[in-house]
Amino acid sequence: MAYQTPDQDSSSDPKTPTRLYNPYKDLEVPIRNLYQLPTTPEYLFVEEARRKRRSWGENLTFYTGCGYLAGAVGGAASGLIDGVKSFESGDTAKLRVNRVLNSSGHAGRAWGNRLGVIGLLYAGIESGIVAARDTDDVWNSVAAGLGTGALYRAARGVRSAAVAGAVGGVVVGVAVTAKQALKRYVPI
Amino acid sequence: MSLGILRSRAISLASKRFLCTNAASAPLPPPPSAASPSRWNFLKYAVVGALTGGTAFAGYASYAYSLEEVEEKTRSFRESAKYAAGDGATALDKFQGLLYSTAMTVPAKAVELYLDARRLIEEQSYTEPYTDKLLPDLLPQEQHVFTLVLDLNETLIHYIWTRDTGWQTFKRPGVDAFLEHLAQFYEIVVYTDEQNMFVDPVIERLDTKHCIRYRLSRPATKYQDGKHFRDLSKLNRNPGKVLYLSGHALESCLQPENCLPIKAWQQQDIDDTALLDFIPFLEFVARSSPPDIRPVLASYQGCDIPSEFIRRSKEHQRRMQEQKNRGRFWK
Repeated sequence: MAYQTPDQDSSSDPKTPTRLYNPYKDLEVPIRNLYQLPTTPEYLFVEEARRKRRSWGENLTFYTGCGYLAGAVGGAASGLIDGVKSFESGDTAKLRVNRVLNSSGHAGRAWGNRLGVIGLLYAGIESGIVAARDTDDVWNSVAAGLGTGALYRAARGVRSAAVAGAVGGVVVGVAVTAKQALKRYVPI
Repeated sequence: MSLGILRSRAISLASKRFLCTNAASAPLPPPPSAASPSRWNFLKYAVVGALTGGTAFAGYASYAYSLEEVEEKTRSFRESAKYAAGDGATALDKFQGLLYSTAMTVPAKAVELYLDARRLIEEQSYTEPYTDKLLPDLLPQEQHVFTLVLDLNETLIHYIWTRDTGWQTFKRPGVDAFLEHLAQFYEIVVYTDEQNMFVDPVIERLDTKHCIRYRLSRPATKYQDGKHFRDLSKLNRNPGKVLYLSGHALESCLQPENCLPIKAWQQQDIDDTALLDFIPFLEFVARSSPPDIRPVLASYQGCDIPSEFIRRSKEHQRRMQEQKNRGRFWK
C-alpha cells in the first residue's frame, strides 16, 4: 500500500528531523494519512532561528557600556582610596569630603573613558572580523583582542603596540576559554 | 577688652542718653498678632490633607472594588443624605434630620461624582466588537459548512521572550497538516485577542496555503471583566454550526457550549500531538454534519475529546460487529 505522505517539506525546513504519526491508529479504518511531526521546536519565522548572536550595533553598545561602567566604578573606588590616604591632620569634614569627591570623580572619569574606548574598539574589530570571515568562533575574539591592543597603543610606537596586542590577545583568549569552561562544567 | 572699645562705648551711651530724653513718653508699637498666620496655615493643610485622603481613597476603591460593588456599598450612605421628614416627626427631629442631610450632602455628591466618572470611563470605552457581523454572509452553496474558529497563542503558535535570544515564535507540531486537512471540510477562521499588527505577519507565515479564510483580532473581541472574550454570536453564522478550538477555550469565550478545549501548548512540549489527534473527530463531525453541534459537544463535556471519540468509535464498531454476528447466527 502506498503511503500518501503530504508534502511537508515545502513549508518547513527540510533539515528538520521528523517522525511519522498516525492519529487514526486506534481506529480500525484503512490508513489514510501519516503526518510528519518535528522532533525539535519549529520556528515560525526562520529569521529568528537563524539569529545566534547580537547584531553589531547591540554588540557595540553592550561592550562600550560595560567597559565604561566597569572603568568608572573601578576608577571611583581607587580614587576613593587615594583620597582617604591624602587626608591631613587639621582638615575639616568639608575639606575631606571635597578631597574624596575630587579624586574619585577624576579617576572614575579617566578609567571609564579608557575602558569605554577599549570596548568600542574591541566590538568594532570583532564585528568586522565576523563580517569578513562569515563565521563565528573563538579565533575571531582572539584576533579582535589582538587588534584592539595594538590599535590602542599604536600612537606610542611599534614596540608598545606589539606588546599591547599580545597582551590583548592573551587576555581575550583566557576570557573565552574561561567562559567555555564555565558553560561546560558549572551547572546552571 | 581694650581701652579704645570702652571709650567708644561710653561715648555712645552718653549720646544716646542725650538724644532720647523723651523716650519714656513715646508709645511702643503693638506686638504682632500670631493668630492669623496659624489659622490660615491650618486651613491650608486641612484642605490639602482632605484632598490627598480623598484621592488616595478613590484610588484604592478603584483598585479593590468593581463599579457595582462600590455602588452597592455606598447606596445606604447616599440615601441618608436625602432628608425626608416623617409625619410623626417632632420639630426637633426635623431640625436634626435637616442638619444631618445638609452635613452629608457634600460627601454624597462627591461619591456620586466619582461613580459617574468611573461609569463614563469604564462602560463607554471600546468594549464591544466593531460590528455586529464580523464575517460576510455565507455563500448559498455553503450553508451546510461548519465554521472552525481557532485561537492563536498556545493553540497554533507559542511565542516567548528571553534575554539571550529576544522574541521567538514557534509553531505547534502538525499545524500545517491540521490546517491543510481541515480546510477541505470547514470554513477556518482565526479569532484571537492579539493586535492586528501581530496577527497579520504571523498568519502570513503560518498559512502559506491560504487555508484560513478570515482573521479576527482584538478589535473584534468583547472586553468584559478585564479580559477580551470571543463572542461567537457576532460571527454572522448559524450558532449550531460553529466550533471554537482553543487552549483556553472555556475561559475566553462567551458561548462555552461551542467550545472544544485543547491542551495549551508551549514550545518545550515537542511531543505534542493534540492538534493531529483532533483530526478524526473534526472530520467525523464534518462528514456526519449534525444539525446542531452543541448537544454533541455537551455530551463530550469534561472529557478529552479525541480519546473519548476513539473510545466511542471502538464501542460503536463492537456493537455493530455483535449485531452482525447475531444476524448470522439466526440465519
